[in-house]
Formats: sequence, C-alpha cells, structure tokens
Amino acid sequence: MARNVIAPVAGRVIQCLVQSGEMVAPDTEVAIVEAMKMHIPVVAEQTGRVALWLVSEDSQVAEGQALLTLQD
Amino acid sequence: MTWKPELDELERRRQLALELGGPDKTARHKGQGKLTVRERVAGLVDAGSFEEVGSIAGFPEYDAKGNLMGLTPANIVCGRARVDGRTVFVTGDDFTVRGGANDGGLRDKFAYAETWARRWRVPLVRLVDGTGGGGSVKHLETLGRTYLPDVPVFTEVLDALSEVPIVALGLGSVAGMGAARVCASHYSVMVRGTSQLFAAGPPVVARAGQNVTKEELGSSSIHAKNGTIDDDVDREAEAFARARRFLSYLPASVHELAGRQPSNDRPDRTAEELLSAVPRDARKVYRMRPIVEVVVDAGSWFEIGRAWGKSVITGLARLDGWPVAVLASDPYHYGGAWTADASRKAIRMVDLAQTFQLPVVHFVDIPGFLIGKEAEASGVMRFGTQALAAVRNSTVPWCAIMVRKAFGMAGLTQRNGSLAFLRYAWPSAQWGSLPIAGGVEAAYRAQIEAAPDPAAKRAEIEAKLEALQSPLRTAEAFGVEEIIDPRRTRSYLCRFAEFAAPLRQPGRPHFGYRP
Repeated sequence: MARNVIAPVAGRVIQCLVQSGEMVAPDTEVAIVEAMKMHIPVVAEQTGRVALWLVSEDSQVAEGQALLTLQD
Repeated sequence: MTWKPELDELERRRQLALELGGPDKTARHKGQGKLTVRERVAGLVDAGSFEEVGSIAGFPEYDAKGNLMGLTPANIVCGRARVDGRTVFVTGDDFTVRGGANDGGLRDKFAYAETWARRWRVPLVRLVDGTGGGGSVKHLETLGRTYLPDVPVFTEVLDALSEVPIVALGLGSVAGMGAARVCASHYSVMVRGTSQLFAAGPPVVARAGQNVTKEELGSSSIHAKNGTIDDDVDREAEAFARARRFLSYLPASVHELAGRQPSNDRPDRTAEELLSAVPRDARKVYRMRPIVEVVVDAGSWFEIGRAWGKSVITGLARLDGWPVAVLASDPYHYGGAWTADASRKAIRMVDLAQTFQLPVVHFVDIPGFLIGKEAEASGVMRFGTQALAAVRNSTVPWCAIMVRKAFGMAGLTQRNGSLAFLRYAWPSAQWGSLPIAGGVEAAYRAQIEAAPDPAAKRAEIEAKLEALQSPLRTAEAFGVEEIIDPRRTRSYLCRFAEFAAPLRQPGRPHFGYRP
C-alpha cells in the first residue's frame, strides 16, 4: 500500500535527504523545508521504501502537501 | 409490618434499569467496541464510589391493574462519585435507549445532571454518546406541533464553565446537542474509530448533497487536528485516564484553589543537557518537549492538544508540587511562529489558567506571527490579536523562560497582564521588534542600493546589528529581569511557583469562559 510523507509546514524544500529505493523508518529525516527562515526537518512517520519523490529541491510546498510516496 | 415490600419493588425497578435498553441493543452496542454507560462510569470513578441519582427514573409500563410490566430507564445515568478521592459529578448518555437522544430521556433528569456540579461546586464529567436535543423528527407527530429550538438549561450549562471544571468525553457518534456538550467543556477527548462528532450526521448531510461516512465526516482525527476537541485516544479506558489526570491539576471549583501535591523531585535539581539544548546555528531547530519535561516535576507533564495549533505546545504540569499551566513554542512547526490555530490553542490554555488560577509558565521561542499569503488568508492577525488580549487580560502569576526568539507582536505573549510576572532568559535568547534579516532590507534600503556592492553593504550592516543582539546587552539596561544558566531553570521555576501560590485569587473569572 502506498503512503505519503507530507510537509508539516508550508515552505521551500531546500534538501531531499533520501533517494528513491531507500528504506526509511519512523523518525528518519527525509527532507529539510525552510519556513520562517528555519530549517525544519521532515520526518517519516512509518517504515517503508521511498517509491517516488513528488517534489524537487527548491520547490515551494503547502502545509500537508505530499512530498514523497512510500511503499511497503 | 415493615416497608420491605416497597423496598422490594424499588429493587425490582433498579434491576430493570440496569438492563439498559435490553440485551439486544446492549449486545449490538458492545459489538461495536464500545462500553455501556454503566461500564463507563465504573471505568472512570474510584471503585465503589458511584452514588447514583435518579436510578429508577424512566418509562414504566403498567397493566390495567397497576402492576409494573417493565421499565425502560431514562437514557442518562448520573450521580456523585469520587475520582482520586475527590468528589465529582458524572453524567453518562445511554446509547442503548433511543440512541442517547433526548426523547429517550427525562427533561428534569437531564437538567439536574447538567447543573448539579455547578450548584454544588464540584467538577463535572460528561460521558457523551447521544444525538441532538430534539431527538428524532418522529417526536413531532407525538407532540402535534413544533417549537422554537431552545434548551432552557443551556444558559446554566454554559455558565458552569466559569464555575467548575468540566471534562467531556465523546464516546460514540455525537451530533447536535451531543456535539455541543462535548465542546462545552474545558477538556474534551474522543476515541479513535468508535467516536465521531458533527453538527449533523451523514443522513442529514446526504440530503445536502454530500455522501460521506461517519468517519469521513467527523472522525476524532479530524477534530483533534482542528481544535474542536483537545485530544483523541485509542481506547475508552485511556479517555477515562486522561479525564482523571486533567482533573488532578485543578481545584474543585473557581471558589477554591488547586492543592499542592507532595513531590519527590528536588526543586534545585539541575539538568546538564539544557546547556546545549538550543543549537548555536540560528537556523537549526530543536525539540522543546524534552526541555519542558526535564524542568517540571518528574512525570508531571500532561500535554493537551498535541495534534493542532502545533507551533505552541500546551499542557499542565507541577513545579515542586504546585500545579501550573504551560505554554511552550515548538520550533519544528514554523519555527514556533504563532499561526491562527496556535493562537486559538494558546487562548484556550490561558483562559483555563485564568479561570482556575493556575500560574503560567511560558517557554518562549517565537519569531512572530506566521507570515505569508496562507497565513494572511487564515486570519492570523485576528486570532493572534485575540490571543494577545487573552494573555494581557489574564492576571494570574506568569513566568517566561526566554529560550530563543521573541519578535514582533507575538513576542508580547512573553508576559501577561499580571503585575506579578517574571522573565528569565537563557543565553541563547534574542529578541526585538523585527528580526534583523528582514528589518535591514526595509530600514537601510537607500544605503544598500547606493553602495557599489549592495550585497556586501547589507552583510556589513547585518553583522554590525547582530553584534548588538546579545541578551547581555538588554540585561545591562535592565530590559530583562535576569539571564540564567539553563541548567538551573527548574530551581527558578520552582521558586516562581512558591511565590505565585499566595497570589492566586479564587472566585469567578472576570470574563465568561468561552469554550
């Protein structure tokens, strides 16, 4: 089943920290989003393999927007 | 001759009432993973402490000779009980009788159940599992007329929020007045998967063109994230535990003060990790919750509203045994900037603290109100200004730990309207009307644009201003009471709690509490 990792805050994706195919677990930092001049880590909430990035570095994201898709 | 026959008749009625809506309806209710109203009361209160009121109130059936044939109990079970040894009043809806709706109840019993706590000045716990005040439209046929919507006792129900602590647990599908009774509380909890809350349920919504399930319409997760309720939990037993825990920090009513509990945690305990809790890199965030937890009495931190308004963390805790309300910034959410929701959440905690005279501790890292298009669209300044008003209207003793940033109007929430406020700053603190980076552009535009290398000029000005930003310079001008060693934060706060205790003033709040 596919699940998404979502942006906890609106801002600019300044770094993608995991690549397609990589495994992540709860608390793995998958990206850094810049908001209010702070670098805010986005952490995975579940275990899974990164299937697809839905955004790229430097893109603006909305709060709650899906950043990447995880597969079992 | 004794009165034994009458007592037997009474007992017979009590036994009938214990059958609730009958075995089929009870089995169906339990089959959905829910407890019965009597199991809920038993799960909430101290063992054996429930003293029921109106135990045989309901709908009896008599034959022509006046013999009792059966009794359907009114669908509210209520009475006095003890929670951790302290008196509370409990009222629970019985879903197995008419779905917990009003037409399966007795108006007088409902009014009694909702007002006893206020009148006798003890906390009220509502176990809500019912629908609206009107029940079903079928009721119209019986009545032969319609009526203006009113629940006469609701004025007193709402006023009770300014008198006694009210906890409401949403334990089934609650709509209309049931939903309002969950929200008309100081602390509300729903259970994931088995409780939903809405103004009107799916059948009514379908007539308005939306086809949705109960969960899609009003799950606990929807409402924990929008602030309609405070928390959601996995099981009913957890909801009972949270209700008990919440009440443990509060007085029985606004006419008393919350008690001090014995504490085994030394007030002068230091915490080495606090020296490096805040990163020196200004763009790096850090976890606030461990800071709060290590400072307050061990095991006393009770967070409320974790799923919404996330840039402010709110909860209750103890300092050397004294209960306090806590606000703390979460830099992981917009760097701690107050959003519209964060402002609403802060208002809720500050109003609770003011109503029940809990001194407030605020761990401050606030870069401002959230800025940008979405923030403006959300009405951040309206709700933010309401939060400022709630904070500055509050007069309960207040202590801020200036952890990092305090900028702009949101930074005003560092202190309240009390004359008894204190601010202790960590060396990592920085503050001002405007953050330097954004402010330089506006204030020095002409100078920057005129320079041969504008970028270098901007950097030069920023460096010059940043050198002035040390909190030591503010303290030199007595612009903050004290800069402290973060490791010793607990001892400062425990002394604050001790100074604050005699300043707490029982009595009704100067405002009517708005849920």
